[in-house]
Amino acid sequence: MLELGNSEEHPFGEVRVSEGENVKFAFEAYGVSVSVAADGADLGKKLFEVANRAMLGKCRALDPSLVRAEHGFLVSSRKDGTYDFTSVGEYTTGAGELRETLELFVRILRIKVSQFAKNWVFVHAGVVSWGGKAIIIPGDSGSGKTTLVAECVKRGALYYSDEYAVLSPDGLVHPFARALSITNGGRKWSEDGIPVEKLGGRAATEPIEVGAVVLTKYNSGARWNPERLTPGNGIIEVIPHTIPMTINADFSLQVLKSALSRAIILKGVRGEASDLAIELFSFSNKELTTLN
Amino acid sequence: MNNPQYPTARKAGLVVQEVPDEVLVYDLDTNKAHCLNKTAAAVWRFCDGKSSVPEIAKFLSSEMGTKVDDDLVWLAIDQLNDSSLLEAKAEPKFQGQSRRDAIRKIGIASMIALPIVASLVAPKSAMASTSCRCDNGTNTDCILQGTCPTTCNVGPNVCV
Repeated sequence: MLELGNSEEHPFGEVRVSEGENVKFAFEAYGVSVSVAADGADLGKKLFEVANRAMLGKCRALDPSLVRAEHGFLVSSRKDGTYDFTSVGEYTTGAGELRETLELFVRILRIKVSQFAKNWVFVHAGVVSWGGKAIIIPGDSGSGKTTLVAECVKRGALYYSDEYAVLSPDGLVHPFARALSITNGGRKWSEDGIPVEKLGGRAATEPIEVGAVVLTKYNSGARWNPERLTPGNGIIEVIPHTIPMTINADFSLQVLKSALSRAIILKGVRGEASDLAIELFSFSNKELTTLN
Repeated sequence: MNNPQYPTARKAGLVVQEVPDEVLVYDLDTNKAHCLNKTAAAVWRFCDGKSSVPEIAKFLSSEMGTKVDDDLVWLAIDQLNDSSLLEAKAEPKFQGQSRRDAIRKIGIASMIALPIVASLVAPKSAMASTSCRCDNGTNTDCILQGTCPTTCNVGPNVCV
């Protein structure tokens, strides 16, 4: 039996080796239960470590022999040093390098947690705060939200996330302050992100009210001149980025209403992220600090 | 809306939330989100299958404190119809240029906001907002989601 402990560093508790070198562990994050099986102790340990990092310490150990996890993953090694990966009930892929396999595991783990989180609504968005209010920047992967968040953080904004706005039913947005996923040499790996401190910024630790939502797309040479949307029109613009919307629409819509109905919602094209960060800083000073 | 003169608001398969002066509607069948402004929301609320368009106009006049023309109600009903927010489809009263002309005509005369139903489609899956990954074992297909490109086009193992 491989003991991984039950410390803050290793919150999953023990990882059991059942048959041969097979390893199985289970955990819960944001109310979602997950089990992971691997065919080697070292592999199990690596999977455990990346899962722990990916969930930013929000995991709680479950006994894999007692829990019937909602989501399962299987990872096994081949003799040629590559790995097979299975997201149970969905698909299998094979012959990936370890790094790629771990990356895929983390990516799908995040997707599962963000889709099925209990009592949380994950919105695909960057989040920073200035003046005690959050600015949410919804956007899909590759939309430039990390770049914009990084520029805001460099100018003094408090960092919440470059990936998810994590909303609670009371409408507050909670930190999901992972290392920023900044492209490195053309290959972007979420586990190779840049800690916010390296940008001279600070990560938030407390939930906060939403002051503004910025709906924007990059357009070379564009000048930020947004229109202000009504709360209803703003919320429907955020819905496509709201991950559990198609799974739990009722709850998602309630939480979006709670979080955004008093926020200022701006929509417009932007030029360079650094220019918009300056605009947002000025906007925050003028508008968000006076919001009740 | 078997009889278009007596429209009925659809209730099944919808999630509804009210925000100040607007109503949000999420259609579980189509994953479409709609935002009804105050006027469209009021018309939708009065579509009880028992009230005719002129009656709805009368109710609306009373609620808004100003005379409301039947055509304004029809503008709302046409949009609600387009958005599948009525029980059954009906022939629209205004289409294309005729709707634009009606909007212009009613907009000039109306003391209340024209009815507006804004709509957006939500992605079917959270996968839609994530990157793809290629299977580099036996083929080059992207495997993470259906909307990924069919071949790996960025790097040897990642397609975005």
